[in-house]
Amino acid sequence: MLPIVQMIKNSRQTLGLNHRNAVYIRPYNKSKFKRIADDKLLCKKILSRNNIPTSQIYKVIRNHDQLDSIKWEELPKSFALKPNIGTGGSGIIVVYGRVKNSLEWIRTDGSTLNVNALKNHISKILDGQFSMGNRKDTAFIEERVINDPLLKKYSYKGVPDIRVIVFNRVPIMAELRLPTAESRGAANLHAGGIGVGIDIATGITTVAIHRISNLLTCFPGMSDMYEIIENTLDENQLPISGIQIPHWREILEIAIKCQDVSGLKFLGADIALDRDKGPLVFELNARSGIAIQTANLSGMRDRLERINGLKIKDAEHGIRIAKNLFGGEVEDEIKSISGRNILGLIEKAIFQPVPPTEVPVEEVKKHKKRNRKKRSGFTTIKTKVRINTGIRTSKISPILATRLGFRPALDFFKNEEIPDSFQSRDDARKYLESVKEKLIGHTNIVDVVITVEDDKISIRPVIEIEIELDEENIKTQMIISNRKDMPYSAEIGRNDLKNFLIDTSKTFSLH
Amino acid sequence: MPQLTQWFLDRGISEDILLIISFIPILVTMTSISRYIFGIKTFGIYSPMVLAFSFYFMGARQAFIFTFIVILGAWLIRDLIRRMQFHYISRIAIIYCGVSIFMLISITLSTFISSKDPFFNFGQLSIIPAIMIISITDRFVSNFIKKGPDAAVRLTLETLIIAILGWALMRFEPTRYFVLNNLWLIPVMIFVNYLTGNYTGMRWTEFIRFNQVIKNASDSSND
Repeated sequence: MLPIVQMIKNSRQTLGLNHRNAVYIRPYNKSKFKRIADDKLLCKKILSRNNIPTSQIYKVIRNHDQLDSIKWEELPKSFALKPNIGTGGSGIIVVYGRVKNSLEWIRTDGSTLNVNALKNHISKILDGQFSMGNRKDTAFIEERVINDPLLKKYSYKGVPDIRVIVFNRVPIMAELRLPTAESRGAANLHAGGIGVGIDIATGITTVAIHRISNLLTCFPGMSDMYEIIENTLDENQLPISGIQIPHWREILEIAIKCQDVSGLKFLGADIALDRDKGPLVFELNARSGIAIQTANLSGMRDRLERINGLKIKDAEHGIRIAKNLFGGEVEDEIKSISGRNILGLIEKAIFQPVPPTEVPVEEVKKHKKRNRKKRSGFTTIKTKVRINTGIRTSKISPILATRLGFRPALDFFKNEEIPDSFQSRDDARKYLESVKEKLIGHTNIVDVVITVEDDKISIRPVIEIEIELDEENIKTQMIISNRKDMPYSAEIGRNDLKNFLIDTSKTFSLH
Repeated sequence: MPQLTQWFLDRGISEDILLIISFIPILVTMTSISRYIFGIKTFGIYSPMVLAFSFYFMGARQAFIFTFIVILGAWLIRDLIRRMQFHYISRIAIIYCGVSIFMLISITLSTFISSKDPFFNFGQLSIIPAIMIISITDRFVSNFIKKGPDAAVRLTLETLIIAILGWALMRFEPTRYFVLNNLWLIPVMIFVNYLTGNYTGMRWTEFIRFNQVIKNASDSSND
């Protein structure tokens, strides 16, 4: 156990119920919008009107008169019966087939329901047995979602769903909820379902949790305890982490769109994957639970604070921000296995300047004069660099090299009046042999090499420089490039990428 | 005795009424603090309060056993009629009827034991506290149906803990007299609830609940 002070300090990244209610739900989820999320029928109506895919409603039963007038034989073979303002998944009945030549339906657990049992259940719903505050309710019958074949094998009978928490048009955390035998086919974590964290950037599952049910949890306040599990709880024991959620980008887009149309700024969107229709919105939550943090082994408060106040143009922008800021759980896992960091094609790097002892005093004075606001001489520079596995030695632009204090080396090189280009490599090699010793006589020039840039064969100086790339310090040699149109101030080549893996789909990280 | 308390007593207000009125704000504040600071939930705010008063006026040990019998009765009757089909309110009414029968049997049985041990004599229970205890059946059954037996039992236990704490405060003479003699505590409780209502920190139980998340945050910051 951590020392108490350290624990309190670290807990600031975690979202507690008090903070969620006071800071996010009360100010951002206005009552009129909360009503939309609480009223499933109204919510579905709004979603459909805005072309957001949701399950089709077959029948709405508002009172006992309507219950008596239902033509049961017209109901489809499979459907889901739900209370309109139910809580925690209670009161939901799913049937997936009908007994031949009979008005009896088969439930997910194999038992059958006749018309009387269905009527009775609907009656309970109407009387408010499953509603918030036991208020009178409405029952509705909607189409049954047919499980996506991939997720089906991880679920026990019910329909798994994906909860995406969206705040300020940015999906900040996501979780796959799998029904189990213990939860009797419900995807609810409280009922015994499995919660699996999802890496926002890739849509790949990470850590899975399952509610602990023992004597300890009978103690007051200990009800919501979860343990980390690796496999499904059935006899197949399938590993749960590493599953690529199908339609991931579409799911994120739908979740953001749900926020736009519902008006809820802090939203939990429950999305199911239908075999034929793809993602379908199950329901929206105005008071989304916080157990999702355990499934992701990451605090939500920190994420919420980082995006609060950002101006997000559209869903595309929101997803990009989410991927850059909150993605990377899978990367971390790869890093822990391979011991290597993952780089995108464009990264930010910190360049160290020439050590003060190696820069002539006059040069420092000149630099100070040019940059009057700077008190000291040369400072570290943080800039975007291109990761280029096509070159062996890294390259730096003359401008960046000058800013880092390599102007004397460049001037020295220029004064030697070396031809700009050569006809052939042999010409360049012969020339280089004659001047090499003299050129590397300068303190900052460690080598001179032949390069081919823009189809021009030339001789360029190599400097030794220290850079920090993805929190790793590298002491390297870089060729001062001759190109004036380098899109980035530096290109990092293979020599410096031995400790990294390259992900071409990754953009540069914002943090 | 302070003038204000004395003035109320001189006006003919009984000490018991004064005790109830002055302890209501304290008991509800305890419920509010237990929920938002410690993370202990109860059957709303009403149940722990009436249970605490019932315990005080009935006697804690008898009231505790009485509560246990009521909960056990509700559970058994609920289980007995679980598979039968009824309307919701009728179901609750049947459970109440069942609890009444269960109580009658228990009280009758207690009269046989009472000859040996007066502690078990439920025949002469104070009626109002008894009704108060029976009234939590509704909350218990409602939670049982919606959240399952585990949650219903846990919430009952948590409600009982707060009720017992409240009873202890009333039963313990120094605290009882302190509250009776310092009626200014009533407006102070408004201020305490104002502070509790604005507390946005983690509930104590959340430190346990999110232990893995917090530990992971610590590991990441140490990397």
